Amino acid sequence: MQKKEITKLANSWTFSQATLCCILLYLWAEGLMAAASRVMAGGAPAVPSIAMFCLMLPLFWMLVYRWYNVVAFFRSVRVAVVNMCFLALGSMIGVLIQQEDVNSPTPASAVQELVALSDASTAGNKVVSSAAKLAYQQFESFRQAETFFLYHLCNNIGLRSLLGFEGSSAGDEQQIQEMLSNLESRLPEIAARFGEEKSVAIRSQSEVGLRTRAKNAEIRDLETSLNDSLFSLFVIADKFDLRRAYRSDWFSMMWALLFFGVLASLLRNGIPYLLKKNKWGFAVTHLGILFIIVGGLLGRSTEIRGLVNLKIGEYTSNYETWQREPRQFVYNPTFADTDAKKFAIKLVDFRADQHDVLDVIYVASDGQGGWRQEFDLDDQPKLRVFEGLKQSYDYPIDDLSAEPHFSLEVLEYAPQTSVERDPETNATTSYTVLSDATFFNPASATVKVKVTATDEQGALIAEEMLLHAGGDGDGIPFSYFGPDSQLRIVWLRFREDRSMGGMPLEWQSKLSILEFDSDGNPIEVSSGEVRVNDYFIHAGYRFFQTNHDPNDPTYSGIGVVYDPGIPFVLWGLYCVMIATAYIFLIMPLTKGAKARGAN
Amino acid sequence: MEFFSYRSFLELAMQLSMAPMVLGIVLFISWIASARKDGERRVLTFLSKFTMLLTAASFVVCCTAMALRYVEVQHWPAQTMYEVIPLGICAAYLSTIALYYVLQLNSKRGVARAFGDLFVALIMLGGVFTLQYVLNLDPTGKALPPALQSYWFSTHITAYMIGYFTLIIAALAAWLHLCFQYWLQIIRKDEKRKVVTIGVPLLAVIAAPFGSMAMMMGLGVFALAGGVTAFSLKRGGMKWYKTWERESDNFTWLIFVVGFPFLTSGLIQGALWAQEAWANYWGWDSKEVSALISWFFYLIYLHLRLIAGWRGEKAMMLLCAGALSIFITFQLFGYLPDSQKSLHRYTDMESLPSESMMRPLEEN
Repeated sequence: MQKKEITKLANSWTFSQATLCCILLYLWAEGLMAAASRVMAGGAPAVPSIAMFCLMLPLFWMLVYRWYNVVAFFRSVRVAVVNMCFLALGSMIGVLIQQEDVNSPTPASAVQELVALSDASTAGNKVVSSAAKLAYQQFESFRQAETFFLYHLCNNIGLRSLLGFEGSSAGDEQQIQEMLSNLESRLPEIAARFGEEKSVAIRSQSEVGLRTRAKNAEIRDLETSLNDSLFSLFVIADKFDLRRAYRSDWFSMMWALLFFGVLASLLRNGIPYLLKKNKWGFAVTHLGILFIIVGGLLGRSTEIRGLVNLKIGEYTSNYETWQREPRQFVYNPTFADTDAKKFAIKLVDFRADQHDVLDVIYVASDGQGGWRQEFDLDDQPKLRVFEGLKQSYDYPIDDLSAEPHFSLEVLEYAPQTSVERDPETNATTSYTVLSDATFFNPASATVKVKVTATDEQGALIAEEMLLHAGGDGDGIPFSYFGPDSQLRIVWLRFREDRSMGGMPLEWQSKLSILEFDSDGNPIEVSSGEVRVNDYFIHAGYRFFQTNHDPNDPTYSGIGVVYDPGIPFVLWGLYCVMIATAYIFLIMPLTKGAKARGAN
Repeated sequence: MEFFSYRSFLELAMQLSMAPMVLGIVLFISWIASARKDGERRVLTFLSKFTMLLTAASFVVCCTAMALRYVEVQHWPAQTMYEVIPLGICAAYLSTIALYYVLQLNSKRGVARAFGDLFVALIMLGGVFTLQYVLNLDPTGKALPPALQSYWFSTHITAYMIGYFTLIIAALAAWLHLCFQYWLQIIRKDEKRKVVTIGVPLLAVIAAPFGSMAMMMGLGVFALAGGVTAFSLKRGGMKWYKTWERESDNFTWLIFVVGFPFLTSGLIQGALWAQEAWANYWGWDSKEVSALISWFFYLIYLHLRLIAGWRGEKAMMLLCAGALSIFITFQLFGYLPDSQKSLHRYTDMESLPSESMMRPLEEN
């Protein structure tokens, strides 16, 4: 068969033919893999074996007797486009149907058990298995996510009535407006004291928060009313692998078709054609796609992901996969046998560094001899500290552009310091920067703050103070006179903030890799530090920072990944990115052409 | 409020963006109102060039705002929507300026400048409304969690913003053309093409639920095009539109050519970053998948145009669909069912109302 004839065959494919053929191939893949999994399960089952044979037969026949049709199929741009459309559709299913957690898959037949349990006539007094309980938890999450989507979809289109809700928006609009009106009456004072941004933040957070609360109440009601319909959807989604779209056989088949399509397109005019300078971009982009798919396939079949839980000074050869299977660190785990050489990982050091913040809290007398916060703010203003930070407070209420009555500036900020204190007042008097301290030194920060404020006569006074973040942090009261000579008392506190969602500023672990001599003594063979965005590789294993425990500063959770496909994928990604920029930006610029493909 | 602050420069950028918007609209009306007259009309041409100067000034102010925000939060300002959207506006203005010269809008003569003026005015209108929306968002600066402390944070998001906003501009150009084509077919009773007569109103209706901006750019532009077409036909024909009718396919393609590499780069940088953060280049996170779907749309457009020879309205419809996909990924992703457990929810506001501040004063 001549090249021209294959091209003619490729061009003869129509969109409808390509669509039909692609759908048949996806179904074929589903059938073939279903039969293959039954055959692999053992017991030499006759029906699946025959089915598998029957499904394989047309493939071999096509490859031997109609190979040119196969090549033409993959060479057809219409087939490629249709397959890309299906890939996009498959991905959309994955986004629109909440996906099963890869690390906690629904046990086989658990959903059927749930269906049986939901049928009152057959449920009786059956004992509910743990698998069914897990499946039900997953259904609850599914129901919540789907209801959330459906609710917002209808709400945004203005079809709330379809869901059985009255009115144009969630909640008691009059009450929301009343609450917002109360808030608005106080915002000028907040803006004058803390600046306009703070008042905008409170306004925005409060309105969004109120409306979200009202919407959430409606969503909970909707969840109840849609329970049965969503359960049916959950069962169907589970049966047809829609809950595990990205791991389904039909989705894999789409990628397989993409691979062969790209390969056929790449080789359609032979290798010398690709070596022409104006084809480099095309060749590298398509080669990159092939690399990505090959790497992905390799990863899918050999990848191991898990976690090592360690405390400082501990080492171990064991880790647990995300599926809670115990494993050992061995060299080349894909082909390793029981005698494979092992190694261990040791946590030499660990530290989670917290954010250093400066609280600015206005206080007032509570009328009973004590003090209270002057503003009932649920979240007091706090500043993340850095050298050069300037912040101003207390403007005249009718002129926010006037000079503020109180401002502070961070003159010096040293993240790791030792300090000396006044023995009587315990105030920080001086500090020393630990310039050669590593990240793992837990010494706290010190900050030198310049405070400028107005006195009773309206004259500016400036004061510098040192604050250390160690322990609960240093706090200093400060008074000045605001607009209309009113006395203000501010409590300045510098501390390490452990409340930002439990998320530290930075966390690092120092690791070492140990091998064992003939007597079983550990010998360090390699070492490195890991932080988020910066992993450490040993023998193909990638170790990265995953966990920490705010209550146990010696604990570190180290993620483990073994995936030989990663280098292929990375090469592929770089190829596609660079070649795309070359084709669309660099080539037209260097050649002076406006763009390829222009009329 | 300090003058040299992010917020005040955003306000300034919004106000300044109104100038090229208003000027563009006035110029467009002037062009079509005087379509019967021949000649260069130097004043209009001069003012038309001036719109780009004003756009450049808006771009500079917007960039200054971003620089000030960088100083305020001490990291690349792209963590919250209050920061990301203005970054996108900077990208949109930059693209507009670049495209103005790539598409040779500056060298058009006479009434042929009308479409370019309308095009720039609509982009600036989008910019003004978007900045107005941003100024009502929560402005609280947040610290970067460890996963975001990476050099990819700036390049990945910036590449995406340039890609997204340039491709949205491509869709806007395509949409304008499609709307005019639709109304020409309806009013002038030109030859009917199904892709236009059915596709255009359908796309306008589909876009409507995607928020006020989609409504304005979808149904709003559709209605505007109807009015302009009727007015132009009454005032002496669509002479001003002739050049664009001929060049629109190439015009939208060139905008795509600028945006697509940035979209690809953003997508791939995301994978490279995920690889560094979690040793997992692709986690099938719903944000990643949404971005991949958008990329597929444009890949389909690219292949259909380059190999299958799709030109004109059919190809432009794909550009519009791609922009919708981008909008879902960028703004509506948080509502999608699978996004509830996404690792990309950094930008969503977990807002709580300030309860104590909302009680009536007498209760305190």
